[in-house]
Parts: sequence; C-alpha cells; structure tokens
Amino acid sequence: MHIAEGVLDVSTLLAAAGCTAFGLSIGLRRLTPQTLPTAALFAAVFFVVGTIHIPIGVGSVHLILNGLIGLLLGWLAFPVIFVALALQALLFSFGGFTSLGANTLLMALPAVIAGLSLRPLLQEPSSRTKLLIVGAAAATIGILGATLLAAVMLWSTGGAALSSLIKLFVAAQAPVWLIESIVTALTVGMLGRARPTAFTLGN
Amino acid sequence: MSHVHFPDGRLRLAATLLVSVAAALTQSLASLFAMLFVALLAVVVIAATDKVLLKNIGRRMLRVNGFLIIVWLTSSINWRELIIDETGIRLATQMSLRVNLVTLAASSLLLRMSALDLSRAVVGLGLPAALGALLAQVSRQVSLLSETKTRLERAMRARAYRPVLGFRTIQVSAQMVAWLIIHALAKSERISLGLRSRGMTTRWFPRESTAWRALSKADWSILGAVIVIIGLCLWLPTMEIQL
Repeated sequence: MHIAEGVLDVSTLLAAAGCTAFGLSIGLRRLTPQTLPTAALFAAVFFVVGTIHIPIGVGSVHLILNGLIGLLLGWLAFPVIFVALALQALLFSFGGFTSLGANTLLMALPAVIAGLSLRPLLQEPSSRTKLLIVGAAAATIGILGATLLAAVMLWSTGGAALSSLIKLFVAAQAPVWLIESIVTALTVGMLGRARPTAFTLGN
Repeated sequence: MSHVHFPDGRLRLAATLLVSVAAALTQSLASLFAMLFVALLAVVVIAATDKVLLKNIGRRMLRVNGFLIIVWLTSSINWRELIIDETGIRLATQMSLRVNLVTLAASSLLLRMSALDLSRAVVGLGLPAALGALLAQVSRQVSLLSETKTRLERAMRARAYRPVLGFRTIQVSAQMVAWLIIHALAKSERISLGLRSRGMTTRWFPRESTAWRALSKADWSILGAVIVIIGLCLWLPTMEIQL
C-alpha cells in the first residue's frame, strides 16, 4: 500500500512528514544499541514478508502486516517501517523519498494504535482464541487505518477529482484486509504458543 | 574513489530530493515536460552502456505507469454522466508527469547506491545517527532473511506445495511469517549476546562521511547541474510557452 512519488501535493506531503517526524522522535527514544538488533531484524522481516504473495484470480495480494509490527514493537514501529520503506524506495522504487513521510505515517500510525490498544492484552499467557482475536483485531486496525489515511491524503490532494480513484482504492483493500486478518490471527496464535515473550519487546 | 562512491551519496540524495520537491511544487505542465525530457535523456545516456539497468528501469516504469492508467480511467471521465472531466484530466496529466519524472530521476541519480551508502548519506544530511545505524543493520539482515525465506519456499515446493487462493495457502503463509519472526528473535538474541561479550557501549557511533570541504568539484557538479536544470525548467513558463 504505497502512495507513489509525485501523487500527493506539497501541503499533504509536509503535513504527513511532520507527523512522521513526531512519531519517529518517540520511536527513536526507544531505540538503543541494545534494542537495535531486534528492531533491525523486525524491519527486515517486514521487508521480506512484503514479497509473500497470495494469489487472487489473475492477480495477487502481498502481505503488509503493519498491525502485527505494531503488536510486536509498539512505538518502534515508526523507525522500523520508515527504514523498511526507505530501502524499498531505493531498491525497487516503491513509494519514494519525498513520499516517505506520507507512506510511513499511513502504515506506522495504525500499527502504533494497534500496539498501544492490544499489546496489554498479550502481556500474560493467553488462550488460543484470545490470541486469534487479538491478531485479527490488530490486522483490522492496521489495514483499515492505513486505507483511511491514504484516502484522506488522496482527497486532500485531488478532492472530488480523485473520488472515483479513492472509492476503487478502498474497495481493492477488502480482500487484503480479509487475508491479512487471517494471516495475522494465525501468526499471533503461533507466536503466542511458541514465543509468548515476543510481545513484550520495546516496552 | 570507486565509481560506486562517486558522486558523493549525500549530494546524490540531495539532488534526488530537490527534483522531487521541484516536481511537487510546480503546477506548470511546461516545466514538468521539460524536466521529464531531461531525465529521460539522462537515463538513455546512462542505459546505453548498461542493458541490465535499462531492464531494471523499464520494470519500474511499467509498475508506476500501471497505477497511472487507473488514475486516468477513474479521474479523466465522469462515469455517471459519461463526460470528460477537465479538472481530472489536468490532475492526471500533472500526476503522470511527476511520477515518471521522479522515478526516472531517482533511478539515474541513485544508480548503484547501496543501502549502506544510503545510511551514510541520510546521517550526513542530518538525520539521527540511530536511524543510520538501523538502516545499515537492516540492509545486512534483509539479505540473510531473504535467504531463509528462499530456503523455506524451496522446501515447500519439494513437498509439492503450490500457492492457490484458499485457506491452506493462507495458513502456510502465516506459518512462514511466524517462522521468520521466531528465526529473527533467536538471531537477535545471539547478536545481543555477541555484542555484550565484546563490551558494547550504550552510545551511537556516527557513520563517518567525507568532510563537505574535502569533496571534489566533480562531486559538487552533479548537484550544481541538477539545480541549474531545475531552475531553467521552472523558468520556462515565464517564456509564455503554452501546452
């Protein structure tokens, strides 16, 4: 879910970059030389899972997993997502450097919201059902939040002229949300059983 | 200095950002057309010596233009009344020029720049050292995790697994994500132990870049050329060229 470089206008880009800078400043306060290896590995995971595609008809959707990143890292999601997106911009021209602030904001803000609201539920041993529900809720917050933010950014750039594009974009996220919810729920379920301490990082 | 490190990464990144900002700021189609023409010319000159690069840039252009086709289809026509939307066409034209310009400029200016060069460049341009350190570490871990993922996929194929739309594929994808995260956690614990045993301190070591004053004129020339070209292109509309 990248907004390509050159799509958003300057005021939207600046506002998004300002919000991202604020989120980054909080996230970087939690990044120490001790937490760096873990944060770097999670950024790498976020980068690599973006290449997992699930076929749908003639096309496919790729995993985003920003909700899961929020559950695992909390505020550290901002620097981690920023860095993963910067690498994607450099290596594949996904997004771009001036739209990096906007793309980071639309993925990291819902991730942090998912983390702040759902991480407390995972601080003690949980049943499998609870893990699955928390996972699905994290994905829902992650994808719906990102979709909403992207729609707001596109609307603030093009207004009514982009309304059809925005409707199409929102509709296209429905299968992504469904698949992402199931994948995140199952992943949280597996992690909760195999590594329950995984959800205490970045506390 | 090798060709990979010339011109200086900070100047290349600054030039790329400058093109992106200029493209975002200008509303003039003439300026955008002119900048796109120069960027296209630069890519043709660079790609003439490198066929692989041409293929790489071609793939990027195809992807961004695929998105632009959707923009044109949805914003240039009012589908309810089946009439042409003038505002939508102007917006789609500006967007198409900007997206293509920035993709071409970034592809040529950041040519052969590695993630480590990028981490040094962002810190050199004033971003926090912690972010540079994270970027450098991530670039190292991405290749290792990609290898792990490739190994997993090969093992899955050996067991006759084929991804199709269905619960089984989603379940297997979730298992792969969980395995990658567990692998990353185990690895990060090993790295932390290794760093602690080597007496790691709690402060950041900034990644050193060449001093600004020590950069050669040839290094600065790339940024200078970009500034002059942007200036000329932005000046074009004042010459009353109508597009």
